Amino acid sequence: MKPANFEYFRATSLDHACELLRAHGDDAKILAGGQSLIAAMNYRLARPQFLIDISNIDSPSEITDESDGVRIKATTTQAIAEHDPVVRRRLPVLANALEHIAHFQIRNKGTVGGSIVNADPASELPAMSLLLDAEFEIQSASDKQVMAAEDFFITYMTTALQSDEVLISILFKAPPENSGWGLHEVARRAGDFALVGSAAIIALDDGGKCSFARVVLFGVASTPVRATEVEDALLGQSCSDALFAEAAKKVSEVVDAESDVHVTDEYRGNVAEVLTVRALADALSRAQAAS
Amino acid sequence: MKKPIEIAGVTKHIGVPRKRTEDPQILMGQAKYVDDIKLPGTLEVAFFRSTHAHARIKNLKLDAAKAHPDCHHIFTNNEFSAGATTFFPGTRGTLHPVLMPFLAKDKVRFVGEIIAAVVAPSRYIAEDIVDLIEVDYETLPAYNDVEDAMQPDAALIHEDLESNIYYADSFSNGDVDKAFAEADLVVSEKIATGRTSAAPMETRGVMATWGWDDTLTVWSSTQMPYPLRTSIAVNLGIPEQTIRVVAPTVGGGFGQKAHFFPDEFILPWIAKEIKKPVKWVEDRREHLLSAAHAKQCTIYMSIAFNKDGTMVGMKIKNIGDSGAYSQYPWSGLIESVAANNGAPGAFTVPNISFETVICLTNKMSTGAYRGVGWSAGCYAREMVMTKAARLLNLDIVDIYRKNFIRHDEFPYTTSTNQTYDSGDYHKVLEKCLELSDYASTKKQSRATEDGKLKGVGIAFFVEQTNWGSRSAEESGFPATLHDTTTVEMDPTGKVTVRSGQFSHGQGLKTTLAQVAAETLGVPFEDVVVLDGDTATGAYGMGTFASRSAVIGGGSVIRAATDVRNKLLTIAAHVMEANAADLEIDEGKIYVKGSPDRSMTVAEIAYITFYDRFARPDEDEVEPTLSATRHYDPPAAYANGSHAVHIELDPLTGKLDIKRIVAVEDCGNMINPKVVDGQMRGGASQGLGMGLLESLEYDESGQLKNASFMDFLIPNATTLPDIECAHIVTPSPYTEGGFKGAGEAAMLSVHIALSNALADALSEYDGPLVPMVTPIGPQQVMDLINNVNQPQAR
Repeated sequence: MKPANFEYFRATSLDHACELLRAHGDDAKILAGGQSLIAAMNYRLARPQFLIDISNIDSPSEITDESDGVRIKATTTQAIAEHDPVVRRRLPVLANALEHIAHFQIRNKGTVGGSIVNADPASELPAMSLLLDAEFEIQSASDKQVMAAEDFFITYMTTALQSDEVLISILFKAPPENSGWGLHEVARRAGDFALVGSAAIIALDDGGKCSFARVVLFGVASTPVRATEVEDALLGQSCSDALFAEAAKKVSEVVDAESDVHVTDEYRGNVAEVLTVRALADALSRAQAAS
Repeated sequence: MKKPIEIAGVTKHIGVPRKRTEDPQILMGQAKYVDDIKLPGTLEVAFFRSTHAHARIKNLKLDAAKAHPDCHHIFTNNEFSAGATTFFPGTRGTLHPVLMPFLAKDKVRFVGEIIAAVVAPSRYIAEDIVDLIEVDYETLPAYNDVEDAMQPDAALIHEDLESNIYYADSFSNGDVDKAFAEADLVVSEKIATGRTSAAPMETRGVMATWGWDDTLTVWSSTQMPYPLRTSIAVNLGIPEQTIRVVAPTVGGGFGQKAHFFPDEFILPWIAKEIKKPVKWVEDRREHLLSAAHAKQCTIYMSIAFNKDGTMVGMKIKNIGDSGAYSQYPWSGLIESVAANNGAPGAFTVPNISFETVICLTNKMSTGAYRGVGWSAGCYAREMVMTKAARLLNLDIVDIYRKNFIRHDEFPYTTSTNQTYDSGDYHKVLEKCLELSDYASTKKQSRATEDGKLKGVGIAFFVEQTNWGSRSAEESGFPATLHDTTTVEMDPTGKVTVRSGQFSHGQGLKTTLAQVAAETLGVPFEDVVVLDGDTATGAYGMGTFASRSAVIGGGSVIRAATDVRNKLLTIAAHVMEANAADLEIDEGKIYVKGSPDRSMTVAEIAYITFYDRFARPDEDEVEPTLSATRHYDPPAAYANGSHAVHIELDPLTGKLDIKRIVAVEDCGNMINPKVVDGQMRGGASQGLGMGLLESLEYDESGQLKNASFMDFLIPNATTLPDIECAHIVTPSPYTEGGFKGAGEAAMLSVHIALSNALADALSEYDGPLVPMVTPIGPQQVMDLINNVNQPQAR
């Protein structure tokens, strides 16, 4: 369990990293926290010829309070984001999701951008970027672009990022005023990858009807998935347990789960519905408390 | 039977909850493991392993690998064709020995089997070279399930055998058919226990170096350095006295390291061939693929009951999944044979019959792991009892109380011919019930306010401990096992205990010192225990099977008593007193009743070695203060009880463990803190078996979860505090009244857990009683939905 031979570069700046990527792109991997990549390399499941370490660039951890959300530099560790007061105030669902990532030792090294780019469909941060309409700031030696989260995740561990591109920041949009959130996942042990997870945000109008709904599932398909059918069933309706139970049945529209050593695809589908009901119920009670 | 030695004098050390002397080094990072042994010029070994579960090797292509500029050597079965064969003289059943070649010859039989050993300057390079090796395989049908491998038309995994079954035994006592015919209720179930791995924190590892004085030194992360030395001598044809085996600090073994693995012969052989130090440290993937697996049994269990819960008969067929080989030396028999011979447990079972079948499959071999045999066997019996309790409208506690062997019935010989020395099962059970608030919890509603279900479960076990020859024989393995210890006092009165056992987490450096200090009458600090090195100890079998406190402790008592008697004889001469009138207490020898007439142990020791004028004539008393004594005790049977409280989410199948209570009777305790540690560690691993662990092979024989990401073991977040309590009934048979404690703690937590699940679901249509381990969320939902349950025939 030793990695195959590779050449290591320590990028001194983002521009430097982009230059290295331009030179070595197809055969290179960006190293940030290394919490997934190093394990994959040790198992020789990943065999990059070049490793470009971006964890030493200037001020790797940066969190900015912006008008429409919170911008987090990709190399920010999950632990710093988790404990950041701006994140906790404006994006409490994100702060809660961060607590579910592995254990604190891993969050001390793992980065927000790294987890998103790794695109494990069962992990929390890709799901959060869908839930919070995130915008990804992406850079290459020749170009800069902004990509919406919904265009980013292609399939299992695969994103729209090109081999010469690097994710430099993520803008997580703040949900509407007076909204509430819910997040539920089932993992075999605390800190394990979720077998199934569901996250929801709900806002209510003055009449108490659902004016905003966002439901995202993870661990149930090759990418995190937004359950728009569930959202549509909620919008304009009076929220109740019965409505949630009925709406959550529509998770089957997006669940395309596989079986693994832990649970079957059927389990994932059933539990996705259960957790969606719970996430919606939590979101509602938080929304009611906020109104 | 020889009467145990009465420990003379004042009890100051045995029974003291002392901190372990070995811990500071471990905690401060000074402990040296195999991988910390550094010798200049060491080459590293990586193994090329089979990627097929069952295939013929048509063509092994080494040319590209040999052409690598840093490739020192590649060894295959062509160069080293030795192997180990099942060795069990005197077993009752029919045994067809199975050969395990150290390097695969023409055929591979599981994924992970070693085909070639690559020697290179570093492990990194060695793995690069391994990547260059190719094989043309001719694949053969791979067997994952014993019941497929047992079919008459199944392909043979070992072609020199007539079938894939290599051991079969049957036993009967009483009139089982009559008992079943007349019983009020017969419950028959199929029980399937999952395949686990002990997964110690330190993986295995071997280093070997050949000396130009024709000596071989081997470091291995083993539990049994002396038997390994003998085995290397026999298998490599090297004179045993020229071999030194060192087990440095070992980070846990749990029985898994009480085997001999192919690498423990390959590395010494390579060192001898190339005359250079070589090292191999197992990585976690290799560990999960090819360090002995454990506990996978398919059990058909039928128990006949009377209406009042009395067990009148038991019928068992236990099919052991041996994996591809018979893991040397204990073999794949170990799980099922021990399970069946201990089937009655704590209960009077007048009529019993069992069949034991050991079958080969295309998976890693199974071997010893804490609680060998009983974890699976007890689970089967107790789950059937739980189901019966429900059908009879009783609590399992009622069935326990009805069928327990009573405290006044000891010594008690079970219907499977095991002789239990002592115990008070009712007392232990009642203590566990009381501490766990069992009865009051049972009266509460199962449902909680937030939609969860509460459950409480209890379990009771008897554990055969102290594997010497007699324990082994009572378990169905007529092996020869015993131990020897040397106790020696130096001229300054300090004491060295030279043990053939080996502490790799058990705290023996502390507990054996406590026993020696007690027996000799010296301060604890005056004793040091040397173990884990064949150059410094006395020949012994090592530490496994709950044996070391009893056999190690007993041989220390014997040897230390001899030294004490010698010391007193010399002191009597020096002090002009009668030896029988002398007492030793904390290093001071005095005339009983006149404490002012005293000398120190150090003074007498010094006189013994250095003052021939003061000591007795050497023709009368030889002026040495050492003794070497052997011990092969009668079997002692510990017992105990676990209770587990859970909260179940009935919609996701997720279990939360709320409380674990453990009560144990291991006889006299040498160090209660160490016993508590064993109870907590064992309970954690028992919970692992019950809740999480299952090594899963797919139909083609690939291990699907060869990493800690997917093979889950309990961690700090899984476990609540484990509440421990003790009942003490000393063994009347063993020196010191000790019984073993190491494995017991693992024996029934998984049962209590499954009983808690059955309890949580007690208001559902059923009875719903789990018949599998582990009970992960999938298995829980399957139970709730009553699908995919094992089907009894």
